[in-house]
Amino acid sequence: MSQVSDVIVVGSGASGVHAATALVEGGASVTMLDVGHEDKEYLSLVPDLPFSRMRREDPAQHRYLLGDRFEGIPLSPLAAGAQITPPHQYVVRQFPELAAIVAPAGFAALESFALGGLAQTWGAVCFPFLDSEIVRSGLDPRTLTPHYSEVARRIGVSAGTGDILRLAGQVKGLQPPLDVDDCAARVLHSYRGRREGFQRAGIGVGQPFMAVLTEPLDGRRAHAYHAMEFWSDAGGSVYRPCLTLRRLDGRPSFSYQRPYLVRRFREEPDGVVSVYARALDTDREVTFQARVLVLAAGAFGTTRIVLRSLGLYDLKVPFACNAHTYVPCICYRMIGAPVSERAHGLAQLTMIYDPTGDQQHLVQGQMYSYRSLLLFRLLKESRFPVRESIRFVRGLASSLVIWVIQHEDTSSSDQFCRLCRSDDSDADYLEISYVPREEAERRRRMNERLMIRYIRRLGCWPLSIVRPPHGSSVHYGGHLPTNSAEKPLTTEPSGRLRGTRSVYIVDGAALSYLPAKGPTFTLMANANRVGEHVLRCLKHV
Amino acid sequence: MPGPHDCFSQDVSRQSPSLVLVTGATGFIGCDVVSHLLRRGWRVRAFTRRPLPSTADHDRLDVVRGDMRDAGSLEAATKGASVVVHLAAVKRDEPDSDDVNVLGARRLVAACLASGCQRVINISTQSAKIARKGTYGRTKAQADEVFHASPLDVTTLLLSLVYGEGSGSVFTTMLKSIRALPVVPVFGDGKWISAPLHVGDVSSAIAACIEHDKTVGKLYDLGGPNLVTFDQLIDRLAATLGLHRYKVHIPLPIALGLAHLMTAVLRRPPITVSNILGSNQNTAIDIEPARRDFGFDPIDLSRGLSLVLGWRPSAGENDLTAEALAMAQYLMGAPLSRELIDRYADASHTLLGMHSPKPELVFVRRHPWALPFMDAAVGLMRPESLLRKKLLLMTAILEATPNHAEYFLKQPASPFEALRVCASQAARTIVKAVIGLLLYILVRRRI
Repeated sequence: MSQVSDVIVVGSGASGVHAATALVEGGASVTMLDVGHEDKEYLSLVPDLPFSRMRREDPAQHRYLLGDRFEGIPLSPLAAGAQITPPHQYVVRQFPELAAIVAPAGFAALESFALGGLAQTWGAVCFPFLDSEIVRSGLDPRTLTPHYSEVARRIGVSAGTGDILRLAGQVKGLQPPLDVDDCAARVLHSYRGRREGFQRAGIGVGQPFMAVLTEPLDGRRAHAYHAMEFWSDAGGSVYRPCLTLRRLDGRPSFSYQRPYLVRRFREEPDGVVSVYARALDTDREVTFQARVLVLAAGAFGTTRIVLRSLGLYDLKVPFACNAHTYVPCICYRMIGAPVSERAHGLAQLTMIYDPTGDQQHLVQGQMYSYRSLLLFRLLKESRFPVRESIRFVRGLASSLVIWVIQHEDTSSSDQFCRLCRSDDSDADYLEISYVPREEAERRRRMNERLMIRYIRRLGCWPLSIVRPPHGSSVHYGGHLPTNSAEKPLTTEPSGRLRGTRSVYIVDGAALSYLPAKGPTFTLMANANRVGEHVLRCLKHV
Repeated sequence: MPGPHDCFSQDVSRQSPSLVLVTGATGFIGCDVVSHLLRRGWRVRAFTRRPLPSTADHDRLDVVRGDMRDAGSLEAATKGASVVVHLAAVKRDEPDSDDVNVLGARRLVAACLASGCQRVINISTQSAKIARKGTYGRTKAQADEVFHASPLDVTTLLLSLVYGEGSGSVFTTMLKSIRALPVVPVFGDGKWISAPLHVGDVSSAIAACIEHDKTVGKLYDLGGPNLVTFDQLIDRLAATLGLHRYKVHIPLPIALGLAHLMTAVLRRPPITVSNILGSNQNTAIDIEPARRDFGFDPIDLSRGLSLVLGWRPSAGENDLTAEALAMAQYLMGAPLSRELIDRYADASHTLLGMHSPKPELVFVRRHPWALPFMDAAVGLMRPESLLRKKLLLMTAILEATPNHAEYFLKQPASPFEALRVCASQAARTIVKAVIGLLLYILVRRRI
């Protein structure tokens, strides 16, 4: 229906916007198709004030703290996205009805149809993969590594500190590190005194790389330490894909089209790709055409589009998903100590553990201070009377930290999805099947036990160990793994979907391995790499 | 805003008074009278021992400081006034009762005669009619005689139990005890009959008397249209608040002994001998003369209570309101604004839907005092229960309100304080859990 653009990018998340940026900056015309939900209710209400001041002063705070429909009061057990506050809930709007995904009990799937995708609520920890991890993901360290630095310069990444640098890979163009809060400062102090013991055990502690500005960049301001990251995006200091999209949107060769839910694609004999999408406002099917299609609809979304387009129903597609565990702790040295309100609410510290000594199977933990969420969320876990619980929690709040331990994962046959036809019509749904693997589970618990032992040595007393349902880390990948094996439903090292002429995969679906680090930074770097590759291909033709 | 009853009969036989002096203008009834008379467009002089709040600022209001024990201040206050509404009295059987109530009446009569102010509306009490009088009833009865023996044009109004929004009345004491106590003490057998009267009707009656010459020289009974026993009144108040209360009757001799003791020991006893005597001897309250002579038409008790308590929840809301108030009292020790009650009800509907309430929830709605114990019990026995979820919901709502933010943000000042808080909360938890488990078992067995 519309004119043929060079490239159609499906999805505006972390992967999509960086693939698009590489393409647009190289001179290609790009149409981005997206459902594109945005917040229209809450973000504009949130004052640009420190968390505690907002709490004391803003009479309208209940609207965004609790939500007009009280969606910010989670009374049910932990699920994927439980930490998403009302101002960020647009990120999961129309999930699962648009996704049509069926997951078993014990697996929490999540997809986003928002402008900016899941990374709109991203924790902003920016781990580059180690070379060995890049290789296991199916990519080439030599071609990928420069893109980390390019993305870092584009989005603004503040440097990590301490002993994690050795285990975190190398990135250039970083901003100075963020300031840690009082809790993290005490924990780091404990670590320095015990450093040798930790190193002997293969553990390093430091500040993580963060996609948070410590210096202004492109009209975004340096972080104000208001601890409001869970509630507002004021100043744009924490990177969100919508920031990149905003910069793209002014370019004449870029066109952002919504609300379109892409259903399938077809490679036409004349060399173009047709993309069939449902316009959600008019409920009509609309066709777009381009020379190249870049799929960045999120690992499950991309897989759904690919399977549907290729007519591959009832085929088992294995995938990987990082498991994670919450360990709420009391940092006992902070009990009753004065606390500065100047802090950020994201990950303060990271701990990397190398259980095998060869950097092949790292385990990673991130420490958050509990300072920008409401206390009532914690009371659910207490079996004390509510009034006493409030006083307990209040008295201990300044010393409460949460360690989030993440584990690696690879695709395996006991964790797969498949596209199924619905009985009644031509509709279909993605069915997830998941059987916990005992061996992997046992290894995770062993690693966790060791991590917790060292967390304790840092002065953090664990209160409990919370294992949310599998899948709720929202790190999915490996559906269409990148490798050099000539198998269907895999991705070529260039990013092209094997068996197609001009369809590229740039999101998590293309990573064959998920190390114990958030994949977002790597996805952005890889999308940038694939974008540049596509650009070269377009110019050659 | 107009009061409940602004107009009585149309037959007004006297012109608007040039200036009305109100003694006891800062009292429970006095405040309402002053604003009522001002609303009528009259000029008012408030005679008071205490300064008036600045909110009482009005261009037709003139405040004079004085004392019923000070003849000079009375003479100054009555100068230029055409009518005196006499409300000032001491009511708690104070030692100076005779000086203020009886001699004060004599001083006021003398002042009126000296200033040429002829008309007096004398406010008295049904207690002045009972056989066995306390200090208050006796002094008020003597004051009434003083006024009617004088050459002034006096109308006396003998009030039954007056209720209203203001503080400092017997009625607000009753409300307080119903809100705070699981069991309400009733001094005597609870069969005393009163005709509760809305304070707005008192003010309207005073204004009507001023306007009707035929009331001169007469004594009128003033009461509401509904006759209720003391026990019935407590039940109705509790029901309006969405509560259920047991009453314990304290036999009259013991009650009187207690009251004597309190009067001897406390400066402001919550209950006096006069209160008890007044609420144990029935009087014949005949409001027909008042209806006939000045069109007195008091409002119905249920309407009056809804005016005073601000609202009357519907049957479904009633439960939610009751539990919301009980929870806020328990969690914060504070009452809840209407806005937060509504927010709680809304959230409860949205998130928890309509459940058939469990026995423990039904029980704490009717007996808010039991909530802390029941919470401790369900925390151990059923952490996923509806009661527990509702408490968490209320906590969330309170936490997201600037008024309560400080409570949730408060940090211990030292490690020592933090540990002390933890230890004391743990001790409280144990005590509450023990009592709570007993209650829980009882309640679940019973239903």
